[in-house]
Amino acid sequence: MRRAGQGRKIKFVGLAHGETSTGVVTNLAPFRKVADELGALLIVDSVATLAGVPVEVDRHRIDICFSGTQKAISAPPGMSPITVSARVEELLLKRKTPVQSWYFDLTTVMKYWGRDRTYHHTPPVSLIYALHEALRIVLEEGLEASWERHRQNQMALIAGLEAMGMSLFVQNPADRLTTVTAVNIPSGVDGAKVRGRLLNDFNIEISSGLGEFKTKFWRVGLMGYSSQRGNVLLFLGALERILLDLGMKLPAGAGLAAAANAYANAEPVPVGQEK
Amino acid sequence: MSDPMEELRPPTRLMLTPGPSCLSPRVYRAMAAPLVGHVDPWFTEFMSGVQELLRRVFQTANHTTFPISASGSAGIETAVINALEPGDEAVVCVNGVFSERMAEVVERTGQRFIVFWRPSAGLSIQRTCAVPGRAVRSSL
Repeated sequence: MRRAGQGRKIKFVGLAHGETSTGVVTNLAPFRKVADELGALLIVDSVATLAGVPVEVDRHRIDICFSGTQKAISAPPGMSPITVSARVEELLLKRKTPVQSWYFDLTTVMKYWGRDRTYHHTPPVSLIYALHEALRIVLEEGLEASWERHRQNQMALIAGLEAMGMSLFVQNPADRLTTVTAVNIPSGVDGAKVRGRLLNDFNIEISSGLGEFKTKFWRVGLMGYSSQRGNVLLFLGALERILLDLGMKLPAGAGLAAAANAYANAEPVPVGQEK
Repeated sequence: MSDPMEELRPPTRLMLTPGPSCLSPRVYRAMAAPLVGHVDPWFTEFMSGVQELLRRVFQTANHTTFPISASGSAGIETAVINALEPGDEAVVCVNGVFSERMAEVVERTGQRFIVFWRPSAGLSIQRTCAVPGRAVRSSL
């Protein structure tokens, strides 16, 4: 990236911190470093990570960081929280051309959300109420406690899945996104049928892979209010039942036992104090 | 087809997908609170509180912090089009659908960009660039 960018006027380096489609997390620090060398802004998509995995905008000096309300924040879908550095604010003031979109033009939207409170467009008031409460819940728990809860629940899920003989799409644990676990569909198993049974028999929704990965792996999200011990055990129990019904050979009860064991060995999650 | 005039009765689901996640009852209650106008002084004061909570969750002191009035993909759009002006180039690191979406948004601005594909767990994702000559593709 360094080599490719040399001699070019690179305005920004952009990446997804958590790539939802594959369950992969990417370390931010090296990208900030290369962006610095190129004199570029750093833009980070934290849709799948904010509140579930450390993002730490100021610590990483992220220039533009945006997320989504419906992932680890557990507010309804419909908004994208965004934060923009002072450096970007200055660049916006100095723009020579208007921003291509009227609705998403930060130079004018900020007049509504900024000191002026000058009307720009009508925002989703009821969703903002919901977001307010969801953020209160996140901060009451504390970010560190939330990150630890997300980590523990994924660990238990993985322990359970592996005890059932299943494998993960992301082989290197360091690359695994805590909030989304991509589980390889065992050979001979109809992935869509399993998801259908989970939904219709147990009211549990999980996702397939996207595009070329649709028949390759399932994606199990454990984010925000959904990331709870009871849900992990419920999912493992339901999945085991369905797979046994479909004729798969797996040690009954092994998934639940492994998950329960993972929790027993985990440090108790401390009551978070917001710093 | 069911009668669209029928009462709304969604099933109760446990959502273990990559989003949306389940909501706490507290969030449902908050969402049903009485609506006020978006330029009502009460609401504009309330907005400041929401912005402050967002700063704490982002762990930033950035003044320009707020919720865009559309979902995550609007965040991609906003970030890219506000950062770029004609003549700028961008580097987008693509390792899946959503990072690729950022590259597509850049592509639609007409500005030049370099895309880096990061193989996911040993599998490289093959994609073609719709605007030949505009992008340089390399494997990371």
